[in-house]
Amino acid sequence: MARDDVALLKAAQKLDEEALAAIFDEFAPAIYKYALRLCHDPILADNIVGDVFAQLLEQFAAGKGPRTNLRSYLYQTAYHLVVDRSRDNKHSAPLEIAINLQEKGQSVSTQSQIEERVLMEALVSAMNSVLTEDQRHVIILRFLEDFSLKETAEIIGKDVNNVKVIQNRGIAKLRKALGFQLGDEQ
Amino acid sequence: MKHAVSEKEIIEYLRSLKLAEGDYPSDLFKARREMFIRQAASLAMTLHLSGGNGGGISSSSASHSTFLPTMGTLVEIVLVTVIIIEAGLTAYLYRERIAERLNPTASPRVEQTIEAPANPLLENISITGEIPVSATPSPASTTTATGTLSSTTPTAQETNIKDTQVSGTPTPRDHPGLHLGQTPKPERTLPSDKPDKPGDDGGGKDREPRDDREPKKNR
Repeated sequence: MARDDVALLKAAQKLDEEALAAIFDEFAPAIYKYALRLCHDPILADNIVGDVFAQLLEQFAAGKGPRTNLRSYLYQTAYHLVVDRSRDNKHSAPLEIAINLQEKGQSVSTQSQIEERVLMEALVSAMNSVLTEDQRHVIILRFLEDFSLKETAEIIGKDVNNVKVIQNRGIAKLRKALGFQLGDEQ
Repeated sequence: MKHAVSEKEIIEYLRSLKLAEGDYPSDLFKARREMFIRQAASLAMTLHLSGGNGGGISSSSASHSTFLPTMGTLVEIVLVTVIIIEAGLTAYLYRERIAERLNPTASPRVEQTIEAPANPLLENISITGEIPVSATPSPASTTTATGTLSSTTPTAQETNIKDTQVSGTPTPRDHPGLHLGQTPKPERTLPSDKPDKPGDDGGGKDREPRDDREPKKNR
């Protein structure tokens, strides 16, 4: 953690408005994306962001909260909120990521771009369909949010070795699923 | 035909996936940010008012906040106990008044007068007495009458009773079921020295006087 971040965190613990606003600006978009990946609902993702930062305020007011790794702490809170809500509301998730991919594609003209788009859609589909909840969390945290094994283990509350096993199994499943899907298409 | 995808490729695809995502909608982001800032400001204000040290929360104040509910509970328990004791004491001290209030018909204050009966035989009987009415508010009030009954004219019944001897029932002995040896012995009547009168037949019909017997012959 950088020295600036430590200073920012200390100021936020004293409920300094500027520090809190800076923290929100830095982490809220990332938390939103993470929540959106998991729950696939923009409104729900926005609510989760609100809850995450409200809990942070409560912790600061009670003299608790993170002392060092604020990012990891925020993701951990978001993870628990997403898990709680997914237990309440189990619905098949739409593939917003794939839609966004389609919107973002400027001109799908070249052969490689078409192949890449097909592969991405297959990957997102496989993530939503073949992976277990734990595997999906670990894969997202490790490769989409760039958390280390240790941080990922802290966020989801598991052992590092356990996280390794979950990650390897998840990747193996994705490989298998993508191989079948691409093979079918070809 | 199956397309083999290596583990590395999968990881690369996953990493490239994070770039192709929807951003936080600006209107949602602004609204959420404003709400968060407002929440923080109100919380800071509350802590300032409650004696916080410039918005920062120390561990001592956190422990103080956990200590307050415990003290509050204790004070509440003590107050409730004191109220219960006080109520009990008051009820004990004013129990009579409370009973009066609760049941006002239980203890009437009535002066009872006894009129003389209309029986002519009892005309001369005067009853003097006091009838104290107990003040205890018990539902069943007891009235005790103490008095002296004096009569000046003897009644006819009394004279008749005088001549009549009534044998009362014998008092039971100590052993009501065992009567051995308790039968009174008959008294032996001694023979009188005077000879029976010749004309007196009463009682000695079959029996001849000893003197009238023929003397036995001596052999």
